[in-house]
Amino acid sequence: MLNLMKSEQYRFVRTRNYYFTGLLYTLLMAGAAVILYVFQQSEPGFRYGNERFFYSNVLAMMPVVFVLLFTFPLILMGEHKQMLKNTAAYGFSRQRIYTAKLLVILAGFLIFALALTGVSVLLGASLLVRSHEHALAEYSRSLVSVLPVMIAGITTYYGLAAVMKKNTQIITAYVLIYFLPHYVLNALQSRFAWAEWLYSHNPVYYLFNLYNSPAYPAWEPWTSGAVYTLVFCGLGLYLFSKEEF
Amino acid sequence: MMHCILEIEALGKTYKDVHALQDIQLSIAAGDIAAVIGKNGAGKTTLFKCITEQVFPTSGTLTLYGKKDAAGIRQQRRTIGAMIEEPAFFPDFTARQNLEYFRQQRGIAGKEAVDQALRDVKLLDTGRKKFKDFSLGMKQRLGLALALMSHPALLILDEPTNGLDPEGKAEIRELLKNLNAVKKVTILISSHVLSELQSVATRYIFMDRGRIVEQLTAEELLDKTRRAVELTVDDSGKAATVLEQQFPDIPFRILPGNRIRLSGGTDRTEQLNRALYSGGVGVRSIAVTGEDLEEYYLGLLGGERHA
Repeated sequence: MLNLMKSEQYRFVRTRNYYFTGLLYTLLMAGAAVILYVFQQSEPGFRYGNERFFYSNVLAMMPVVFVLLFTFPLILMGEHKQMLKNTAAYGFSRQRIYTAKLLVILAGFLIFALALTGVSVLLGASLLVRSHEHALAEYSRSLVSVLPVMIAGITTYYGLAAVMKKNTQIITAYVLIYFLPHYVLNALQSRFAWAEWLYSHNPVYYLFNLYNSPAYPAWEPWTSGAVYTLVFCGLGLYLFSKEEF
Repeated sequence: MMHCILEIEALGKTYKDVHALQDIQLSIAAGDIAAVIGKNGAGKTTLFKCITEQVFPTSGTLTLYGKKDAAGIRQQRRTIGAMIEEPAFFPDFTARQNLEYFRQQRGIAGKEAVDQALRDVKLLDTGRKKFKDFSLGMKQRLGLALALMSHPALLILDEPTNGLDPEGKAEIRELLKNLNAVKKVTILISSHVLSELQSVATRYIFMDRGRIVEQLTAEELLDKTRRAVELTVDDSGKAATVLEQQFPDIPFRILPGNRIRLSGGTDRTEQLNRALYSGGVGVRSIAVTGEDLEEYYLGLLGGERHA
């Protein structure tokens, strides 16, 4: 297993998409911070040139980030799946292959998330005004609460990528799995109590409400994320163990 | 007697309604170079894929180095080097990077294993050229390098000389012969170019429509396909005496019906005829017979077709 992970890590760190994605997010955040900074410098009455507003804007983008998560699983479970025949022929079980790749992808994502969190904090602290004492703490708490949802997203994308061939199919299935129920439950919640409960406990709900002060206990998004992670990890593992190359 | 390293019993593989493999019985002994021969769709590649678990058989059992259970077989697969269908590598990696990825995955100690594998297939000087820019022949060589990198005891090669120029094909043949002779590597190989197999194989496995239709050792095949002169005479005993005295260099066998089969002498039929006539033997017919591997294979399939 360790050898498998080592080789996947060798592949992962040599993938340009990983760095391009990081660069893109950094540029977007830097653009937002610089615009706020410029307005704050040029207009004395401008109220939004502060860290808190900047962080809430970053958090408001999380549903988009959630959709764009496919970058990570596709690095190791994308179009070059045919290569897995070499790995299977050497006696590695499908379960080991699946698990090793997933662990490396999650580790890569965590490093990516930590680095970009650091960049955002650096941008906020160096360019913008600290108007609220707890802005950074609230921002950190929100990011931690959304982490399991992001892990669920990666696990789901990964499971889909393991059994589907086309990227468009994978993304469409992902959007249907997460966003369609969210909007359907939203429409039903005024009529059914169970729909209201499900709506307020589905992962996308936590993403859309991240920039507000959370009205739910911290364990809720963790539980919701963990359930989705386990379900899609198990499903992906089961389907991948039947894959032929 | 060599011990059996791979044994397959009643193996079958079905894709939806298509029987890709049916009731395959096969055993490969250590040191064999077993050539699997069959036209497209005969089941050669599927058989190799079943052995390496790239696909799952729908029936039958497989024993590899005495192991029958899934975990044991998987462990023994570490001794297999395989190249099945077209080689698959990361297109944006160089040859060295691709092999380094697999070296780490397989836990092969020492980066020099990569250089050695590249040297073996003459790809050491490809530098920064990416796999996607390789010619078909170079891709085949890299596939072979991967198969060799882990120092396998059993090599499974599906059309390994595809896309290689004649010089490259000859090099691969020599490499395989050398691996078999020096390192005692057992080889299971398929190719469309039957003459290539004839120069390396010690065993032949003929497949058609998912079944093994015949298995022969090289000696048996040679015996069946050897160019020969077949005589029909009035007295085979008398003819044998003449042949022993006048053509001691040509081995022969007496067959039923006063027929004699000579293993050779195809260019001396006139001399044979004269000598027998002089020795008082009546020659009713004299004919050159025999066929090459391709003719034999086609004949075999023809026979199957009419069966």
